[in-house]
Amino acid sequence: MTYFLVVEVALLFTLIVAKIALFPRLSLAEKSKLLERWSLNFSFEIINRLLAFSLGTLALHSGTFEQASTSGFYFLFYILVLDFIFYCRHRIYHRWFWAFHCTHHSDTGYDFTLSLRIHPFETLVQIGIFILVSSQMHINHWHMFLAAHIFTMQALVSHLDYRIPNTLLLRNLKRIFVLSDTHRFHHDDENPNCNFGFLFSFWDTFFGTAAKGARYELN
Amino acid sequence: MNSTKLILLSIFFFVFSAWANEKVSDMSNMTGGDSVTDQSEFAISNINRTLAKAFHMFAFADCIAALVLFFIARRNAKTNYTKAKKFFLIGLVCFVSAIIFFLLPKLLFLSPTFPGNFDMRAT
Repeated sequence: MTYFLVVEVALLFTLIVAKIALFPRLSLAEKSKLLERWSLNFSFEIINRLLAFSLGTLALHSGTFEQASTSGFYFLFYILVLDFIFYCRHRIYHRWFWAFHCTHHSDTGYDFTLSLRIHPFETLVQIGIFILVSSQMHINHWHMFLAAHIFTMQALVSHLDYRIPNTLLLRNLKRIFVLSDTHRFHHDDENPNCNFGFLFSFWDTFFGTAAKGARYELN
Repeated sequence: MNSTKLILLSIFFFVFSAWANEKVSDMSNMTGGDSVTDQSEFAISNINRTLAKAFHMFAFADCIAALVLFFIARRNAKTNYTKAKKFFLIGLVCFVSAIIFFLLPKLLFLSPTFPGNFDMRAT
């Protein structure tokens, strides 16, 4: 867990430094806006992390994860199941729980800190899903940490505001994984009901919710 | 959502999961499984446990301080950018120190090789 947390925090702070290095390009009004957004987004991160650690520790000590699988193939299947549930959950949020999910969509900007702007209710649901699926599927607790780590990293990566090169490899990769420009399309006010995928983008293709048309061009 | 596809996919997941679960249960019975309760803290001295608790409490206090500092930064972002930036950066430092103070006890006081703790490997 220490390793996962250190990697996540290191990535987060690398992104902060990278963004701060670009600060001189911004006007004072833009800097103020960025500071306002980041202060709120980081506050959400602290609250959500506290919730996640408290509930995660409780679940671990309850002995839920005793008979567990160590198979790598089973772990991949577990990731697939989790991502499918997250896809369904995302669609449910947009249809019935918009009051909570609008926190994430109410940000006026788009960068990696947007992935931290999650309503605590959503964090509770997320942890609930993790614990329920992991205990039902008899997942090793290290595999559960690894999955949580993969999804956290993916949340950061899919909210990046950097331009993605239009190469053949990345175009093909986008058919399988959600990349930042695919997810940015979801955050566009004109296309609210498309690209719900979290890690894999083929759920959107399969259920017909993939955005049609040209790829989203970043400014 | 296309409900037929959803139902078919759910059935597939359920069937596959049930099959895999059976295999996993068999495996766990053979190997004894991987237990979280193996990470016992009985070899850790009382002083070191107290120190670890103090570090965790400090990390929690740091989190609260960071929340307050971010709140002040947000309030001042539009009117006084310099002040807001200062509060935001101090908030970030608090956030980092909270993570450090949360992780350190695991590496120091709760480690069996830390002075005062009973090293099981020595037996």
